[in-house]
Amino acid sequence: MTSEDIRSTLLTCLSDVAPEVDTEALEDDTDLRDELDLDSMDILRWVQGIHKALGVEIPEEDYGKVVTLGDAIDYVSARV
Amino acid sequence: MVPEFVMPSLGADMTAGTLAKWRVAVGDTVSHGDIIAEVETDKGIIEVEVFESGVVQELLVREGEKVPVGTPMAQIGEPGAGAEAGAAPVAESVAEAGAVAESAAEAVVVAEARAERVTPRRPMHRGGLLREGPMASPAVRRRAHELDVSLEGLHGSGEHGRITIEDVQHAAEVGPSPSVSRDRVRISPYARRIAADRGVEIERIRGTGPGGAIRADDVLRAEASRPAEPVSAADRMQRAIAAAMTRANDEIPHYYVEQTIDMGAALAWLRDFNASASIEERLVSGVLVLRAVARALRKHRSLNATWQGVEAVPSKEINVGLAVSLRGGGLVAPALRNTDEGSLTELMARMTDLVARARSGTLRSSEMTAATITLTALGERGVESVTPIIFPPQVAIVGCGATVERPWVVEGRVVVRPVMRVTLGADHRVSNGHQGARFLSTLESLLQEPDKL
Repeated sequence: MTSEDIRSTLLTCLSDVAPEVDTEALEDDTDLRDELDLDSMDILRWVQGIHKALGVEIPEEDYGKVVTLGDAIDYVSARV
Repeated sequence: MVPEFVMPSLGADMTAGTLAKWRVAVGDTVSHGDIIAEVETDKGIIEVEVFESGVVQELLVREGEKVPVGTPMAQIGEPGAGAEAGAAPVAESVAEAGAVAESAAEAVVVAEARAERVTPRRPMHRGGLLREGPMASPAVRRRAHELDVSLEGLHGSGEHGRITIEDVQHAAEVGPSPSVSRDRVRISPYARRIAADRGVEIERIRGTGPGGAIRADDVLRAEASRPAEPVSAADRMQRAIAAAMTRANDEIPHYYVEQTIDMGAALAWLRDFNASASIEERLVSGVLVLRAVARALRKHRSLNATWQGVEAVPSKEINVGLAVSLRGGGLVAPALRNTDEGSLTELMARMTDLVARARSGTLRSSEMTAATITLTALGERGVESVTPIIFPPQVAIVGCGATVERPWVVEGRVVVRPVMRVTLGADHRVSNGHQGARFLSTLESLLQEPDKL
């Protein structure tokens, strides 16, 4: 699975949580909480979606490692 | 008399609603609690339940029609009565009925002026990361498809330019909007000059001259029928907030009590629970607070009530309303019914579903009106203290700030503990500070034993 494939999947999962977000305009350094106004429930739903789509489980203590889209791509790429 | 299903009031700020879609047809049997229609309000599409059981005898309002609150929308007869033969011609002028309900339910918009003064650290900028292009709900898109109206280029009068059912309806009535370029419109020079002078968009004029050419009369007619400049839904919502706040401040003698609660036990329990639970069963700390508030109300029923004109009426159910901010602006506070019952996992699932539906604009009417107290939590944005205003007709509201690490004295030693400041705002006509303080004390105790929540 390429990095682009992972990016696309993560964005699909994000759209499921926050459909009003224009995912095509997201930069890799976009802070998901601050700039997209995601809260802890949104983040949980997102990581649940990632787990369902890619089988990668992000434990709670690693939430700090997926602050931006780029972080998340790196995190998942290393585990998928 | 055949019971009538009327346009419900889904908040004191709501004077009218647009029927987005009927979910039943004449002859259908409906039961108490069934979703009978989808109604578009400032807060999105609301699924409206019926509180009668029987057979739908007549639908009185057309999809896309905006009618005042209290307007009869359908007639529901006794089971077995059957529909009237050939019934269901939709009334032509129900909108003029003007039967506005006197006992409108209260505002759904939470009036939390003081809390709203806190500016998010980095407010989301619209037009940047939010989706561009026509913003329209699925119901609006469905209606547009039915009426063969293109959403591209359609002016949205809703919040942030959101296209509403009314916009689609209007576009269907006035004909295709400005897909034809100015140069291709057939219009006499005189009519064009009049249109320019009067600010009438020629692309929106239906010509009655040869070949559809626009004549001066057409311009004047279009000017006369031009609707008043629409007030955006965002403005309407802000007006509703203003009205609710003013009313709450004028009518409710608030008092406030506040307590800083040690969240160490709750967070430790949550950490352990989430570490062993499947990812689908993980909880967020908010659900612990939500449950603790509901359980505390079991012991302090005077705070779980509604003000009914001259007295407070205790509510049998504990239905905590959850203040949900809508990304891009707006606020709703739908109710989680029987918040004190069921497992935490179940409550988490219900809360997740409710918040998702609040943000997608698919709440149910009962959820908009059933709250018996409201919980507002702004801690995720770093706010340490919230002093909320009660949401009428409720008689109390709980505000939670962020959980932050602070020096804390435990058994004579200063240690660092995660603490959260909780504020209770309550109606002094119904309870006193002493009762409020006891509620917070109960809340604090419950959060020290999270395994029992």
